Amino acid sequence: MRIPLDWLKEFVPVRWPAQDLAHRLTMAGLETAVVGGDLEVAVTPNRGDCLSVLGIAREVSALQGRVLSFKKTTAPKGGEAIKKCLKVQVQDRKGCPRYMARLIRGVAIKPSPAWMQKRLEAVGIRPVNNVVDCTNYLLAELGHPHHAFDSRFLRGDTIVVRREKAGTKFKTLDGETRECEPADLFICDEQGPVALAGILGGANSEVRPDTKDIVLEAAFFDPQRIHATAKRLKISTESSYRFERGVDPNGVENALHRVCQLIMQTAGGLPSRDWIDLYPNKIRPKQINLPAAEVKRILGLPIAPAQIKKILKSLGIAGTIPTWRSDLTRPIDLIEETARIYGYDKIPESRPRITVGLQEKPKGRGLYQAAARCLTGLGFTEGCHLGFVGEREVGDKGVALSNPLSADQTHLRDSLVPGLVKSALFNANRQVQSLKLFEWGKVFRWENGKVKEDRCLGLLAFGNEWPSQWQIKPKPVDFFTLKGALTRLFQAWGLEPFETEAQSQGEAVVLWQGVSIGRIDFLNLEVPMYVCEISLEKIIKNYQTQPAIFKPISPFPFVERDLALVVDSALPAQKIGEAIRQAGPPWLETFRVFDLYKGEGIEAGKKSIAFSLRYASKDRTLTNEEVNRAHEALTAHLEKTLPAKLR
Amino acid sequence: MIEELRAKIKTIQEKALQEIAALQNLQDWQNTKARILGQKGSLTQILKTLGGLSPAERPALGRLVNEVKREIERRLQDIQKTLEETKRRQVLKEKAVDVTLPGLALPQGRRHPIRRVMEEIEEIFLGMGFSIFEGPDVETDYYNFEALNFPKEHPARDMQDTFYIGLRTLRQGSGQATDHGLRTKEKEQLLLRTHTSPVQIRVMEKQKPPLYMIAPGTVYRHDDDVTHSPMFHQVEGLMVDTDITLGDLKGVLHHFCAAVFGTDREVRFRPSFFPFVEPGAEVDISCALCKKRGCRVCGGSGWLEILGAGMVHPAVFEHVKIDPKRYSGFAFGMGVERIAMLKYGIDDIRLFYEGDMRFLEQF
Repeated sequence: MRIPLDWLKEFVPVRWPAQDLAHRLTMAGLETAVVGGDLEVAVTPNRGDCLSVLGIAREVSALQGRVLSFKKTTAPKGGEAIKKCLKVQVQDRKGCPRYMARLIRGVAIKPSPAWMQKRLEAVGIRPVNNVVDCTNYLLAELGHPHHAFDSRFLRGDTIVVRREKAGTKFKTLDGETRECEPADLFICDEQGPVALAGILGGANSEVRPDTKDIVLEAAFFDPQRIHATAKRLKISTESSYRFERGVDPNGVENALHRVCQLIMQTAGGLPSRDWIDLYPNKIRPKQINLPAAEVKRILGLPIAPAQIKKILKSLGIAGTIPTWRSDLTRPIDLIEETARIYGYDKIPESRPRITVGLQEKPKGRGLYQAAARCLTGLGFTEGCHLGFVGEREVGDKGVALSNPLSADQTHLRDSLVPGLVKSALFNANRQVQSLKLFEWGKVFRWENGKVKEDRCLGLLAFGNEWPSQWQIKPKPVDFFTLKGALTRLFQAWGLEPFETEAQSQGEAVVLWQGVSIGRIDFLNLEVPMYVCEISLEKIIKNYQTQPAIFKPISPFPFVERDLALVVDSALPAQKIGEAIRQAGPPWLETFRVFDLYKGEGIEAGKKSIAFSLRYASKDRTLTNEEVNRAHEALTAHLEKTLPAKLR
Repeated sequence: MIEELRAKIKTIQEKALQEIAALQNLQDWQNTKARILGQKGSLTQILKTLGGLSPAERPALGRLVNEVKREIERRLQDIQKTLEETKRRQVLKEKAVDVTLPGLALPQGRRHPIRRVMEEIEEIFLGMGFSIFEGPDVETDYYNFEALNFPKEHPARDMQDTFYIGLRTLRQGSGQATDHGLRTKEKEQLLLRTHTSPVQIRVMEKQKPPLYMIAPGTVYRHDDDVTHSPMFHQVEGLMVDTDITLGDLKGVLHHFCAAVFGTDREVRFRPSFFPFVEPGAEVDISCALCKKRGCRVCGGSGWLEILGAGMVHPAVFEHVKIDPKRYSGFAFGMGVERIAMLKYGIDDIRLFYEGDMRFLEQF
């Protein structure tokens, strides 16, 4: 909000230059900058009282150590009695605790005087005509919104403050037709709504160039009701902005007199002799008790009771809380008031003493950190993508947003893959030829009426395996790139290995402890790529940080033998491996695939797969003969059972 | 006879020394050594003939032969060293590489800057004795707002534009909708958390003070521009115990700022408003670029906002049944992106989520 300095100085003498003043206000909780010689103040939503020149003047005065002295306006004298021409009924007293009205006859609508226009423009309000400008001027000056009706257009002589039936249509003075809900509050005449209370006037009763007689409204509306309606209708006016932050219910009268005075000054006319003031349940200033010990307990610094009293007094808090400060309801609010005027910078820093205990950390954190170390070491770069996707990118259980930002961000992701793929294509389109990415993040699905959040790990690779360089020939990435990375990761986690099971071509399910936890897929996009996604929930749940148990190092040498078998193309390596493990001697330590061959020399529909087997005993040196015997027996067994042929 | 032998030895000696001096490689050295000192070597042969001498003559000649032998051996040894050195040089020369060629290019992935900064923040607080807790991204109105003292229909809620969860899913293609249970009560309304502060409620519901915790995580706001992303990351913190004061808040957060940005940055605390804390504070650090003179980065103020904080509001304690008269505490929250942007000088928040390698490879 813009506060012109000269306007401010009409209310309070300012001791400091503008920059200094801005700094002091900032350090008291009103973030202020100097813009073009005036103050630009960012007012937090709890400080509705600061949305006016008067409000800022109160703060400035408090910062200068004394309470603002503010002269009230004497009610201008008038002619006829108002009851002859206007009645008001408030049917919704909760929504409108106070309603005031006064009539002014014989105004001359014209542009407002230059000084007024200048001030309005300085605070960012467009001048309209003298009557409207007067209400806006007062809004900026005292923070009280007013509305002026052309009394010609008020049907009958009664104004009613009430709700309307759902679906009522009402054209506001901005030309829009609004559809209303039962909670909305209206100002009505005998035939229907003439204003959306506290938010916007109606097109049917607005002040026009030929308006002569006006009804001036000043009121206090329930902030919550104003907020609910304004928010639902997506309207924010200078008026609604202030009503929803709370205006001073006891300042309404003075404001009405002041606006009346201003209109008489700028548009002439004669007001009614008296005015209507419906305020059946007067809102009285409250009392809050603040023990000095509480101040010390919260701030850590003892402030003398006399000083606390002086600070609060400078804010107008002397025994009771002024009604413009509806934000102050409990002792803690007064502690904050004391602290901010005293100065946060004067409160000394301290270090709390803590009770030592074992710190808690989320269960998945260690796994994540190990994964990040392992995967970056394998050349995978970490991605972090927006968690929103379009409707076509989620499955049946997708979680939709009721207010998405855009058509391609309508749902929460139910997989990390779309984000990784988008990233990959983004880079591919920018001349990146090889890429490996990983992401650790949540995905979302509906499950039994609840949104289930699953932590997942995604991997993606396209292009070549390692950085292209002079010594090593390029090798394209493939399924085994991701399977290998995942294998290494499970080793890094110290977990039992996972298994992969073929789905259809190029697609595999990842199984762990017999349960599917994810998959590895080939995506034949403009840039072919491999992706893998696994759910981490089962792993995190079952993960125990057990240290590795040391096994004594065998002093005996090992013996290696190779075994090349020609088998059916479709026979999975894992099956052969299981057969080797089963039929081999107990001292068959490990074995690994070292070659796979199809083509010339091998019958069609067959493949040659070669294993290297390592025999080692923990209690003796194996003799050549016994190794050979066992190896031959194993070979014969495999030939018969798989079946296979020794190559 | 003796003289003859002496002369012969002399000749062998001279010849041997000559040959040794002329040696060019280790192979010849081997052969020469064998020819002179080996089983059938000339000197060995001479030694054998000493047996035919009288006991009186033997020692003198024996000594002579041994002296000659030692000398030859010494010479052989000397030249061996030279030859080995020559050979080593030669091998090196043959195997010489262009040492200016690049080394083996091993793959190295990068951590995402947000994760990196997040972990840095976590480590600082772990070091000060804080625990880490997590909570769900999809929250209820109660945890995200109500329990945190955001009054209903209060403009404070508008400070955090919220994404709400739709309770129906349309089945693709079929146009059929699935309902996921109607939630009529406002407090059960599902939304994407706008801050990680709900985690403090969830933890305080279960654990009583003393409580020193941080809650890192993803948060969402209905906002999208150069400095705002609809999804970003926050670390929220909470310290509740007997006698925790605003002074403690200042001490702990100053400590944190120094750890992240360096001890040469000034830190200031000024009053601000967040419904769940009171007194509330905003924490600024001095702008490193302009040294508080005011520049584009700090918007001319000389200060950069990096943390929101404050003393836990008694209403929050009341929601979780912790006695606000006995306990006090402070809470704070920070945007990880904001800290990363300041730390690395990044000017567009969207860079974090595009996955552009030209960006990611810089960290």
